Order: sequence, then C-alpha cells, then structure tokens
Amino acid sequence: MSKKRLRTIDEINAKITRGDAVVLTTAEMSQLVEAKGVRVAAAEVDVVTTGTFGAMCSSGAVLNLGHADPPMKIQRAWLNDVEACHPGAAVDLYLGATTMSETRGFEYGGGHVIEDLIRGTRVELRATSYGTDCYPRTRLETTVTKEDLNQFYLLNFRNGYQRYDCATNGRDEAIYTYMGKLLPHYGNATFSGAGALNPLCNDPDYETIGVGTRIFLGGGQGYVIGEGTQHDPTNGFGTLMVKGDGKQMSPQYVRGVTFTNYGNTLYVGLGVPIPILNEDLAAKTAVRDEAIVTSVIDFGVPRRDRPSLRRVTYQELKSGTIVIKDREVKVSPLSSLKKAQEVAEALKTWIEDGAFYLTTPVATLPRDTRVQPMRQTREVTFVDSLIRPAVTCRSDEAIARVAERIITQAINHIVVVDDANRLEGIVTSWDITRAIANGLTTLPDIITRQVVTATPHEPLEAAARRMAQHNISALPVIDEQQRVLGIITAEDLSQLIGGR
Amino acid sequence: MPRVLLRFDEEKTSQPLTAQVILEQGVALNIIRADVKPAGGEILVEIPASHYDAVVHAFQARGVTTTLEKRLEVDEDKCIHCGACYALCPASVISFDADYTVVFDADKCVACGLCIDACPTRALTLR
Repeated sequence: MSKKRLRTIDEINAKITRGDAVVLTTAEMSQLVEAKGVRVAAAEVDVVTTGTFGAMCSSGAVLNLGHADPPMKIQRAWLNDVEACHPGAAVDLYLGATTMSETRGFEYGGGHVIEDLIRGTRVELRATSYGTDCYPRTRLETTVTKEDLNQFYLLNFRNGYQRYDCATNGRDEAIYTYMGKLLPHYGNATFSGAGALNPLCNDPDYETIGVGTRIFLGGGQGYVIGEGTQHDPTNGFGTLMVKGDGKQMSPQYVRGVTFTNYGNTLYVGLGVPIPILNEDLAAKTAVRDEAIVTSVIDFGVPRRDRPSLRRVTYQELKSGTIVIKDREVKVSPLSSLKKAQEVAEALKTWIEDGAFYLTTPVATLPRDTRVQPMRQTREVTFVDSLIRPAVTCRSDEAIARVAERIITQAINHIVVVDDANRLEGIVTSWDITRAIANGLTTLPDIITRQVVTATPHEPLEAAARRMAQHNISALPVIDEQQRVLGIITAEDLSQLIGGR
Repeated sequence: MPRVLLRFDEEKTSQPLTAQVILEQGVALNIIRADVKPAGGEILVEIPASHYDAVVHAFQARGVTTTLEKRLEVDEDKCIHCGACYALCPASVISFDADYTVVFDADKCVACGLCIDACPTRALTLR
C-alpha cells in the first residue's frame, strides 16, 4: 500500500476550519474500504476516529489544592477516606484510581473520587502533617469541588492497551480477578479492549500517534504525553501515557468502578483521531476484528507466565461465545463496546463541528521496546519443586493392604485413584486408626472424598497456607484433568524451611 | 409489580384456585410461568401492588404456599454496558443488541445472583 502523501495535517485542519473535513469512525471506514476499496477511501476521507472505554488501572488525578491559612506542608491526605500520594510540594496530590477507601473498602476508591469530582460533587478532604517553621499547620479538614482546585488533571501513565488477553479459569473454584469474575472449569471467559475500534489497532506502527497527539479523554480534550508504562510494541501490546483536564470531563466517559474481591479502578473513555495521510493509513484504519488476535489465558494459574490455551480473534470474542477445551462458553467484554463506539462518534462530531483540531506529534512512540520481567533477588519456590511421587491405592482394596503400605513406605497419606490415575480421595494413617477403633472394614467407609489439592504451578507458600487453613498435613498435586501428579507434605515443607 | 411464586399440593391442582382468586378480588394477575402437574405445581404470578396483600391472603386462605420472588433490577443511570454480567448468566437474561447495548430480559431471571457482584458499577440488584 502506498505511503505517498495525500494530504498534510495542516491541510486537514484548514478543512476542519472550513467545515468540510470528511470524518468517519473506524467502523464506517471499514465499510467504505470494503465497498469502494482503499484507493477511493484514502482519496475521500481525511480523518478516522477511534475509541475505547474500559478499565484503565494506571490512571489517576493530579490535584493542586491551593494553600490553607495557616499554611500546611501536607504529609498525608485523604479524599473521601481514600488516601492520596503526596509526591511533591506542599499542596500537590496524586490520587491513584485503584486506591481503596479506608472505610468502604472495595465499594469506593480513587476512581470513584475522580468520578465524584468530575460530577461536581463535594468531596471531603482531610490532611495531616508534622508542621514546619514555614508550614506550621498539622491538621486540616475541609470539603472541595473541582471548582475549588487550581489544577485537576487526569494523568494516566498506562491507557489504551492495543489489545489484551482473554481470561478464563481452569481451577475448580470461581475466582475474582482484575479480569472480573471467572467461573470454575473454564465456565466463562472475559476480554478487554475494543478490538478494531481501539486507537492503537488503527495505527499499529504509531505513524500518527505520538507525543503531543491531541485526543478525546474522558469527554474533554487531552494529549498523548508518551508511550505508556509496559509499552510492548514488539509483541503488539502498545500503550499510551495521556493527560487531560478533569474539569472538562464528563461522568459519561469517566467512571469509578469495583471489581469484587479484587479492587477499584477507573473506566476511561479514550479516542484518538487518525489522519489519513496516505493509502497505507487508509488500509490500516479499515482494520477488522477478525484480524486482531489475542490469547485465551488461564488466570487460574497464579504465575507471571500463565498458560495460553488458544489463540482467538476479537471477532470471535465479540460474538459472545468461544470454544475452550472443546466446550462452548460465553465470553464477556469488560470494556464497553457501546461506549467505545460513542467515543469515536463524539470525536467525529467535534471534528466536523470545528471544535477539535489535529496535531502533529513532536516525537514518535518507541517501536522496538519490550516489557522486561522484574529482577528478583530471591526467587519464589513453587509446588513443583517439592513434589514427591504419591503412594496410591484403589478404592476396592482391603484396608489391611493399605495399612501395610503406610508402614512399609513410612508415609501418612495414601492417595486413592481410579484406573486413569484420577483423584478419587485420600486415606491417612489416622483414618486407618479410626477404622480399627470403630470396626469399619471397607476402604470406602474411611476415604475422604472432598480432597484439598495443590497444582504444580502455584507458589509453595499458597499451598502451605491452604494446608494450615484446613488443618491438614499433605496435598495431592493434580493437573487440570484431576490426574494425580504427586503429593506435597508438611514434613517436606518444614524440612525445606528449616534446612535439610 | 411484585411477583409471587404459588405452590399447590396434589389435592389443590384439580381446583381452579387462580381463577377463583382473580374473580373474588376483581384483579388481573399476570401469569409469568406455570408448571402444574397432577402431583402438585407452581405458578409464578405478578400481582398489582395495590392488591398485593389481599391477593396473597386469598391464596393463603385456600392453602396455597406463597413466596415473594426476587427479580433483577437494572439501574440504567449506572449501567455502562460493559457486559461483565453477560457471560455469568445461566438463564439468557442478558444479551447485546446490534450496537452493543446490553439488554436485560428480567422476565427470564431465575434470581441466581451470579451477575450481581460482577457488575463494576453496581447497577444490578435483586429485589
């Protein structure tokens, strides 16, 4: 596709002033390109608008409170009981979207405070300090609205992920994650991101989106100020760092939310205009959901590198069902696809109305960086490093034979398995003692069938905690098909911690 | 409108109790679903709030067990149409229309509650 220049940003802005710029949303652009081809679309269209509306945890607000009298060098401060960071001079605060309220927990957090400020709601401010010669005040309580603040900027250091993983859960219990509520046994899935509507998917080589790009942010106009943290263009996971004036924003596009048993965050509406400078960009902005691929990841595995179960396109994800492990399950978007489209439409209207002009970036975003894992001075130990072969039996064996095995192998736990080595239960030396004391003669009478288990990829610490919680001294280690891989025991754990 | 689940035992299934109550109370009851077999049955009815006490009393006087049913309520001001609830619903209450508006068919709700705590904006309640 040709990169020969068709128009400049200055020419587009001149057309915006005249009111005759041709602006399409990315959904409309896909249709036009399909109907008339890239060449015609590139000749006709000046700007394509994109949008996304989803959980953007690395968001927050910069607030300048103005000075009290007597003045105060704030050391700690709370807005509606949500603690803000005090990173700078006397009365500057940074309020993180994910900080939880000290009184309302998951139900209210930094994101909700930001939404309340944007709504114009009065917010309680409380601050403490140690007092200095120039800032003598040590306590402060007042209320503020956005109008009372000198500056109220949304300053988001990672927004607008190019695409994101699809999450599911292979554990035998429901889990609550930053990807929402995930039912056991891959019973559902969730995904994030708006697919073909997403800004960076429409400019995947960051040709037009760079430092200084003017954008739609939260219902107001904002700017890209650089690549976001964890920007990973090498793997197609680019991100943006953005800022915008909170006083211009609307609760329609900024919402504080709760992910039950996980935490608080902020939903942010973000839209970027893509100038169609050449045919290549026209082709890129006609991107379709079927061309955007991501992975279905098992969030049931609490490791940094969680297993990927399959590849999936955003078209499949948006269809509402996908197949995981040969079973059709429902998949929820966590981003609002409706609101993403509304963002793209709103940005289109601004440009058509001459209320929004495009900018030329002053620097490009990195195209060849990648995310590094954390350097750890001490590596965590996982279950698979302590696993030992399990001594097993079948449920139709005689108690005497099982007892004999306990003695000859000098162990306390026998794992009961079926013909396929799948976990059926567990028998301990205590169960055998109980059988003798109570005159029970068959193994099924004493088998514990509700077995607490471990998986090979969980941290040993998590497994140890589960042992303590249930007051037991061993956990069979099983795979996703309930097949027994081995066993970990409290004896082995204490030897590991105490040093052999 | 409040919904009440009526439970009949074997001997009551042969009697036109619902019709009797409608005639006696002079009120239209909306039957949401009915599952009546010779061995007993259940009927889910919507009762106008104005006649709620009288109708429930009339059924109870005829030996019918009444249970107030909870149903899904959506706070439209809070809903951001993210669809986090969608994949959790076992009863196909929640769907998307063409522009990805999340649509709720509360009549199908079985009040399992799975969606309630998955809503990021707390727009869903069972009442």
